[in-house]
Amino acid sequence: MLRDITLGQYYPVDSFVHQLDPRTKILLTLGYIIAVFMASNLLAYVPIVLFLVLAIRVSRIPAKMMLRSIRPLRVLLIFTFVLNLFFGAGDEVVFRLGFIVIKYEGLMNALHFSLRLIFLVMGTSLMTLTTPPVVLTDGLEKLASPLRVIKFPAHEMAMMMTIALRFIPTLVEEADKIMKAQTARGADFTSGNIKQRTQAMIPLLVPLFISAFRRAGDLAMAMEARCYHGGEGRTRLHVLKYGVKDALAALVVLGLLAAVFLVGKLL
Amino acid sequence: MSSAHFVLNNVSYRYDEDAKPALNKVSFSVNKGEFVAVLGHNGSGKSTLAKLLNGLFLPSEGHILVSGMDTRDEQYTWDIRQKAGMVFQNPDNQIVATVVRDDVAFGMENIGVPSPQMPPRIDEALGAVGMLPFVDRAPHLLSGGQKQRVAIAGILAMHPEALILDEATAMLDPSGRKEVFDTVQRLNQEQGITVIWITHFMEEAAKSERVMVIHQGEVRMDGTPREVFAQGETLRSFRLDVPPMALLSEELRGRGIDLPPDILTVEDMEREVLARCR
Amino acid sequence: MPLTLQNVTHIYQPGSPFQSVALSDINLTIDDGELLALIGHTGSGKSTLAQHLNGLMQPTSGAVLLDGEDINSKDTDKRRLRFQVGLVFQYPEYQLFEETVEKDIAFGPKNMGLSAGEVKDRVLAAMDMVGLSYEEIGQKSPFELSGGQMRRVALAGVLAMQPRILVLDEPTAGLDPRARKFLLEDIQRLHREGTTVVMISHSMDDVAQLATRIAVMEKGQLAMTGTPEEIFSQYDRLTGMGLDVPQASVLSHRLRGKGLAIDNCYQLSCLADELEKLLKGGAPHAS
Repeated sequence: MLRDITLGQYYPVDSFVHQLDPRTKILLTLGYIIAVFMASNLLAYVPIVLFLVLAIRVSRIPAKMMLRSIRPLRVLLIFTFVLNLFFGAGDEVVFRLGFIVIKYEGLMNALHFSLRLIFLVMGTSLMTLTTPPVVLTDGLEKLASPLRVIKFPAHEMAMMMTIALRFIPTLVEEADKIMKAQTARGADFTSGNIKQRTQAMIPLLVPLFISAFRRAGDLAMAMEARCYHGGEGRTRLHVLKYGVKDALAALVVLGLLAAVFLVGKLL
Repeated sequence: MSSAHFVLNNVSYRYDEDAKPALNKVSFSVNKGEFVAVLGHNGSGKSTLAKLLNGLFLPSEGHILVSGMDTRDEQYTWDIRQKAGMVFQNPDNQIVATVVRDDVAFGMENIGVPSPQMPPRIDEALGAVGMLPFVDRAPHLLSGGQKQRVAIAGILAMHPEALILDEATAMLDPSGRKEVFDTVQRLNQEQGITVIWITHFMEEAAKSERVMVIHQGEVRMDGTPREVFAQGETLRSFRLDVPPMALLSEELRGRGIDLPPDILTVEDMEREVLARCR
Repeated sequence: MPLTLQNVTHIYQPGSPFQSVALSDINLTIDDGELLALIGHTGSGKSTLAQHLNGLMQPTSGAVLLDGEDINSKDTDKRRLRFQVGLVFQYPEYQLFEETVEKDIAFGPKNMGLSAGEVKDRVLAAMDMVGLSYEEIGQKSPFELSGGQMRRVALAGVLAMQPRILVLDEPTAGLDPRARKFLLEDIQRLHREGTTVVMISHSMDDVAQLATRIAVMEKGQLAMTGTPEEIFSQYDRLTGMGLDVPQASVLSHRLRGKGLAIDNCYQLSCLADELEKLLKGGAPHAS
């Protein structure tokens, strides 16, 4: 059933990583991304692999879930790998078969870029798997709030994201209902060429947009009635607080950065 | 000190300057702790009235006092909305958060309740509407009646003095309707919260203390349910109806059976019939 | 041209942890010309059942037969079938989308591949059936109309396909008393003119007023079927399922409990007759 869709890919277990402050997780994910980009050779990936394995174990996310997160990337991965493999520069030829030439540098680059992509996706997935979207939004709002000085609407952005998360299931359900109702009037969403299919969407999209606008109007009224007047003077139920765990996690990521840096320097 | 909670003095409201007023020179007052049903067909002006009562709309003419505060005075806007909470018709379109707990907190966050005070107030408010077991649920998976009770809890957590319900049961099934009505009635009786219950369901109006009938933007009837529903003809001319038992007694009176005009419920009718058979 | 449900079972997401049985072994025949009311608590499976009647949903096991023909079999032209069983969803005004009332009502007949002339005839006939004036509102935007009118435009949109069986899911939900009265009159008239009607409703007073037969659903099963007299006399069983009964039934049930000699009535008119007899004629107590 459509009602059961979950948003984001939050995996609800309790772990050290789950308990971290969302701001910590966002910042440390950034730190991790920097580490991945800093890794200049394959050896530098060793500390990154170690870190990932450790983080995944501590987060209690099943390895299967983690691997699933890179599945949507497989086309891009193959593409990256093949492109670098065959069209890499360099002189040292490793393999030759007819017109196919694989050079050492190409092979290294292919591995390098593919691994980078995999590590990037796995690291960020770890964040979204261990943090509910709404909490992530909270963290982003807090982190972005100093930017208010330059008129960046941190609170408004976060509120928009929260409302979007709240209404997506409602609108999906509604789309399903309208689709059925129009099907009952003989609408055909599944056959015909692209032009016909696009036209067939009108009876679905028009009522859906009208409904979204009506809901938006209702919601604005309801929020005002509940004294909503922007971020000014607003308190929060969930107070974000850094703790010992956050410091510990920060240390680990700093260690990772140092290790990657050193490996790069030494070799 | 007066016990008047809402005072309306010659209030008119126009959506457009040259349009016919949606509300036309309405004057009445509601006392603290009253349970008033406002009855009217769609387009009668009853929803407009609701939105005037907590300053969502401001009167084009006349003025409204809520606990002595004028809704047109901007310094009172947030006080008024905190004291007079509002529940709307569509349960889906008034829930803001993705978890019941966070939604109940929303109003408190807006009025700046200190964070440590929120959890006990959330528990208390959800307890009062019987929704405490659902505190960690996603609102979109609740039934209509449950969603409306969460909306009521969100208001209760702000410690209001009045509840305005704008057709809050119109989209619910009979059991959801009963669930919400009983909850509000209990809050009225136990906590003395003033209730303004806007509806087109006769059964609900029949269970309130006082019924006001709005037609073409004017208050046309104002009295106890018995007084109001005894006037079937007048109600029908306002595109309304009377509860089934009032209809039956009207029919029987027409057939020459002597019944009092103020029969409303099955119990009333049962009593009258038994009295005539013994 | 009866519509028959044979051992219809519907399971949502079979084999997954979310598996739930929405319909369980339903056997029901909808006869020509009847007005069948489908009642039951929210979540009892009424709407799921309704969507099986025109092939929008397919049974996990069992079959739905129209004139003895399985509507879900591969060689049945399902689109053609949908035109014979018209389904009006809850709050159908939310599916209106065209610029004018006329175009919106014409959507169904156009999908049937009818000629422009035929489409126009059907729009006019359908508007007439629900008491809407083509001259007045045919060229208006459906979104300018009142809630009750919008609902009738949506109903006309299904009627324009001239279904032989009309299935209505909560047709009066959210309407005020007068709009509701008009709509119920429309339904009653359609039924009288020969359309078979299946109506899902929570309003027992509506059901008491219109239905020729009632089917009661509980937890995905068909709990009872029968005439309104038969069903509403099962006072305790209905209230036990959390269902309302018409106020007339409540009163006659209570008065009979007190030993008064009156018939079980579910309609106010019947109760008025009974009470008139009782209160005018003496002989107050049953033996």
